[in-house]
Amino acid sequence: MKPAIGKILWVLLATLFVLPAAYLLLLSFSSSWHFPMLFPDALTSKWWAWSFASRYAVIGGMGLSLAIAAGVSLISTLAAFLSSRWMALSRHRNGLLLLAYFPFVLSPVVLAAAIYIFFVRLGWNGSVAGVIFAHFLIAYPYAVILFSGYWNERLLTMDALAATLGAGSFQRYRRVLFPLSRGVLALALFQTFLISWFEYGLSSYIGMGRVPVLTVQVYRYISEANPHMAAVASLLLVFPPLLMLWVNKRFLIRLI
Amino acid sequence: MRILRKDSAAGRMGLAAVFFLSFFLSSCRQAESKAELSPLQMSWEEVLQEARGSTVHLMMWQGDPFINRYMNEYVKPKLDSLYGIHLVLLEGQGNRIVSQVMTEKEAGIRRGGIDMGWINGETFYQLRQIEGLFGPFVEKLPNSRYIDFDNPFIAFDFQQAVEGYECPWGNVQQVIIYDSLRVPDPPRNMEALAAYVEARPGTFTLSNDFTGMTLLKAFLTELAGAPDTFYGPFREKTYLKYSGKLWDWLNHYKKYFWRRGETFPDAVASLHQLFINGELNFSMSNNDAEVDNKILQGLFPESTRAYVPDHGSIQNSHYMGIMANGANKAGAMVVANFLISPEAQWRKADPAVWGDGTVLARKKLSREWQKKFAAIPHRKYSPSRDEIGEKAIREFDAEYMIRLYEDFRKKVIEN
Amino acid sequence: MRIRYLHRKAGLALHVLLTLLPLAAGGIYALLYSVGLAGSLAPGFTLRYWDSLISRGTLWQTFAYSAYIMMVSVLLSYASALALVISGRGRLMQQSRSRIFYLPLAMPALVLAFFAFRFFSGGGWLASLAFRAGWIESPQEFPELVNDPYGVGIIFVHFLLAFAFFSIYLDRVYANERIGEQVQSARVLGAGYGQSLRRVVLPMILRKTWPAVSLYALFVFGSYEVPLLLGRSSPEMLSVRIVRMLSRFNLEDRPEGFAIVFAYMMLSVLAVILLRKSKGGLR
Repeated sequence: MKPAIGKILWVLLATLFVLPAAYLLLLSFSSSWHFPMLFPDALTSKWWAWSFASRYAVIGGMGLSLAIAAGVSLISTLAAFLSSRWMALSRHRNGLLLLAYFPFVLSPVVLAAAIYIFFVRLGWNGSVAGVIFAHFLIAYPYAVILFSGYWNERLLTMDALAATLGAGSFQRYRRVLFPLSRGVLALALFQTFLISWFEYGLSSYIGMGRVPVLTVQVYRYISEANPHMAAVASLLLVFPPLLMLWVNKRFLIRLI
Repeated sequence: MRILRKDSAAGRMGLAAVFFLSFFLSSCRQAESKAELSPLQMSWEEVLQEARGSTVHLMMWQGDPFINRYMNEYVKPKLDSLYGIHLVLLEGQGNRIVSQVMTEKEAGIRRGGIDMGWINGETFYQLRQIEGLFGPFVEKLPNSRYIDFDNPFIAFDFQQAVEGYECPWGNVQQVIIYDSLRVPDPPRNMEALAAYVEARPGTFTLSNDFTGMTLLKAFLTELAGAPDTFYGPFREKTYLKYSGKLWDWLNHYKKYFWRRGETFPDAVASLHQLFINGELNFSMSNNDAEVDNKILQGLFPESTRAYVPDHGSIQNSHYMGIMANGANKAGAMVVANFLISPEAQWRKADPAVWGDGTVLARKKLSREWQKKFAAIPHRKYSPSRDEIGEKAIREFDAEYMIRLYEDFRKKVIEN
Repeated sequence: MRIRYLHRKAGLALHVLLTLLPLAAGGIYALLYSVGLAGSLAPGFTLRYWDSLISRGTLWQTFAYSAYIMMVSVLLSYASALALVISGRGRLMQQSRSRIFYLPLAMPALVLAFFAFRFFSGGGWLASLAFRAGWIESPQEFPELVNDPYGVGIIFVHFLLAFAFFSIYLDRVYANERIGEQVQSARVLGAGYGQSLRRVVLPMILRKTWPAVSLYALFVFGSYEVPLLLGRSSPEMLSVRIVRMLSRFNLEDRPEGFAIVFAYMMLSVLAVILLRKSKGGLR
């Protein structure tokens, strides 16, 4: 690659990648911006002020999204860590792992549509707990697949060694497995968090509009043709992942 | 499958656990609904008492910022301070309400997730069909005495008598919206419209939602020559005859529509957006005061106007229905009663708030309220209600709407 | 020891339940609904819903359109990322400026689709630019980039997301598999640049990455938010169509919607099994 072409390529890529966020940022501060204006006619902070006002529930929705995503991330990471370890010891590990791929490849909103009747029957639709459980159904298989390559011979041997030395099950998790797995656990925690944080179709279907997570609000503002508020809600949605990028960019590379 | 057999003992245990859990949960829900007194048998005082401190879930279309603001900034706080009711708005149009109630029925749920819904027409019809509506409750509401039930546009919803199963909330007439700078002489009938789109292709379309279907009814009226062709119950022959002509007309001229008629905006909000952006020269609305309210919001240019073509346009009412399996019927009744109070109706009628026509009969109101209604600021950009009222067409039987939706997709979009 | 063995078994049984039950229960319900055996308007066993879906051709149309969007966006993004990674010789992500590749991954598809709509529509920012430059006189003249027949808008968003992901992923594979060193030895043995590319680099990367690429393709196939905002009324992508049919005014459409749900589920199961059976596929 010639240096000049390389530079141009980098500039192009940077534009492509930075543009969406930059555009939305400007949109969220513009009082009006439509054809054929290249830039907004005036800047205003009113949309941001509105979104912080309680009746617009944007900030509330963000808090709800955070709580749901945190819950989903904790439960699915822990459950998948345990079951993937048991799986590694099982004779059927390949078959068990295969099962995790089924919900994993399915479109979440179609999964929601297919099992909605059961959620209604159990009274879980339209509730925060129901949305958490539905997110768990897709985040858990993801975490299982993530952990599946992690349980190697060395780790299992160390675990067995600790057992031989008299450590109980709980002690082995606390003193051996968790400390050794800090990296992969963090990865799973953040990635399952993002799966839940970004989810729209499943959340709106199961949540029935009663669980106004941030993605549901973005869509609502888009469909009432209120682009400025949609931009504000979008930026709030992008903020936590950007923070993660700053902490550790590896957390963002995920398959969904 | 091998896994299941090998682990059968544990598997059975797990299954049993899940079934036990679900049984436990569903029985909990059943226990809540032990013999309750119907609010229809209570006095209004008792209804108010029952409703105090409760939460009401109202599912409604939320595609308009002004309507949302009216609900969030006026109705919600008022209900809270007057009756201690916490109102929660759920996003969802008519079809969402029907499919939710339907799913709850299929799941055998007696206490559903929606207490009341903003409905009319085919939604009312379908909810009645699946026995999804509670009632007759309207007479029970103290404020219902003001409602203008002598007006057939209010007492009948898509040719179907309301019979107390939904409470009128607002009355509107469809208008076509245009920019008078771009369109000095808007088309007055289908022939003129055809000539217009041929000359200016890509500047007109209709939305694939209730607003667009409502326009199609006006087209059907022009094709039939007389509006009363479609009054009365659904007639297959009549429908096939005139809808056939309509699809032919649309399929012939749609190549001059926006995107050559290969796709249609999915909602009226998208239509407005395209109009604002200058992609379209026309928009439309089922709210005849829409232009005033959108100009006040700064969304439409001040040269925007609205009119009703010579073929007339549908005038209809929208209503509040209470779900038969709703968990809080008393609360929903109090909300409905508040929504038809003179004050709530008067505020709603102001074009700066929403501009929705009232369902109350002026002559039944106190002198004071009559004056207040008369003093509502006049529309500046929309035609007066009296003027367009002369061209009002009554809604057709709900079955026509259902068929239009289906055939518009099958015979025009997918054609 | 016995007790511990039991709780492991119970745990794994729970795993089976969590992964299989939703799919099995949802699939069976969808199947029953589609043949008239479930639902409150169930007419009793009938194949007329399947018949009408198949004879009208809309079932194939939906699957074909989703497959088209999937193929084009994945192939385009994979090929571009591959070209970029090869020309960067697997050291792309070592540069600090490479952080920008992570930006699209921080954006949900819904937000990117919203941006694409505002940017590419006839009254959007690009059209404004074209207007100012004097290329167009009205928004109608601007080329269709969203809600368009070829799904350009949908493909753009999927491309942006997948291109960023594949670039990072392929770069890592290039480094981990020491492909650079392999090329060097091939060159020492007399292979030309083109030859080493064809014989060494491409086969190695393809073999290593195709399972992940296939999974990614399946996500695009089932994507919802992006076609919801940027697609057109017809043809629709699979998820959009299913959700619309399940909440239609015409209550008779629900069975047809469930028929598509069932067909899609079967297809997904089949895809996973095929991926598993094939050489070098899923573990």
